[in-house]
Formats: sequence, structure tokens, C-alpha cells
Amino acid sequence: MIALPFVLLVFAGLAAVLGLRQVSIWIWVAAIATMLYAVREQAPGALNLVL
Amino acid sequence: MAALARVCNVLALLGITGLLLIVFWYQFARGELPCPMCLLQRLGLIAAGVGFLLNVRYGASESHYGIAILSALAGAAAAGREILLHNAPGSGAYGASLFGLHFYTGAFIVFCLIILVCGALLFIEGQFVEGVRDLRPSLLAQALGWVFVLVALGNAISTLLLCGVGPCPEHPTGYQLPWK
Repeated sequence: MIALPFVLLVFAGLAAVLGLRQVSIWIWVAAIATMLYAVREQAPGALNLVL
Repeated sequence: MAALARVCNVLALLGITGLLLIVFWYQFARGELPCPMCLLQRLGLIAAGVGFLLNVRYGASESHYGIAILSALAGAAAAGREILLHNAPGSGAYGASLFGLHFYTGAFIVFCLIILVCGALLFIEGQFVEGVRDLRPSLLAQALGWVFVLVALGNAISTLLLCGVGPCPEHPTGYQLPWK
């Protein structure tokens, strides 16, 4: 799941260079949300975090 | 002063792209596979890069700086957590070091610098004036934007190969290549 925010950030960058500013910002928000989900998913194992 | 802010944004984007290329070189040329925490730090760098890219492409905006600052905070949290993990006695370190600093320590410093630079640049109010903000970026800056997107794409592909669509292994040992 940690790959998903990477993919979303590629789209955010792509939208930015193609002239879609608002779309880029919203994709960035989605990427951060999925990043938090990935942290939650990996927290007890690979990240050694107790939430 | 607005020109200074524009140059600083281009330099920040260039620095982030360069850093991502350096860790990429370590990953492929020296076989240093990134741990899940390291991937989170890369995410923070790329996400901050999107903020600077928006500044370069569309002119400075408070929300673009907000993107860079929030991303740097997320990256600094991951880097700080990894420093604390490896700071415990007997825990050892992860990966190679560059200029005497492990990547996560270097990443923490870089994220702090990003926050510092954004905070300082936000003081330049001239960059937010409409006429100044709408200036077209130079061809070189536009090309840098494309290079950044390509480097981000490379990171996405390598993470997909490393972790697949599920959670990442704690100590990755190889790529999950489909033809293996």
C-alpha cells in the first residue's frame, strides 16, 4: 500500500507541469491521506510504532 | 526580492531532485534497498517537491508553501522516528552514510531546512503580488519540473517492485519482480 502515495504524487507532479494546479493540489491531499493510511497499516510491524 | 524567492524555489526543487537521484544511485548501484521508514522519508521529499514545483510553475502562493511545509513535517516525523529507533543502544544503524551522516539523519536535517527556507521565503510579500505571480517560468525551470516528475515516477516503480501492492517488508532483501 505504501506504493500508492508514490503513484499519486507522480500524478500530482504531472498535473502540475501540465497546467492543472487545483487538480495537483487535490491529488497531493489524497497522497498525504494514503500515506497516513500506509503508516497506520505498517505501524505495528515494519515501522515499530505503537499507535 | 520576488526574483530571489523564485530562484530559491527553483534551487529547492533542484536540490530535492538531486537528493532523490543520489538515493536512487545508492539503491541501484550499491544495492542499498530502502526500508519502509526510508520510503516514508522519500515520500515526504517528493511531496515537498510538489509544493516547490507548483511555486515554480504557477508563481508563489501561500498554499504551495503550505504543501512544502506539511510534507517536510511528515518527512521529519519519519526521519526523527528512525533516528530514535537506531539511537537505542545495541540497535545499530540502517544503510550507508553520506558525509558521515546516515540517510535518515541527513533527511531530518533536509526537512528542517525546507521548513526553515519556506518560513523565511514567506516573509517576501512581493512574490504574492498578481503581476509578479503570473510570470511564466523559464524553459530550464519547466524542464526541471519534468525531470522531477520522472524521478518521482522512478521512485513509484521501484517501490511497486520492492513492496508490491501490500505492506513493505521490515528488512527488504530483493525486488518482487513479476518474472522471478
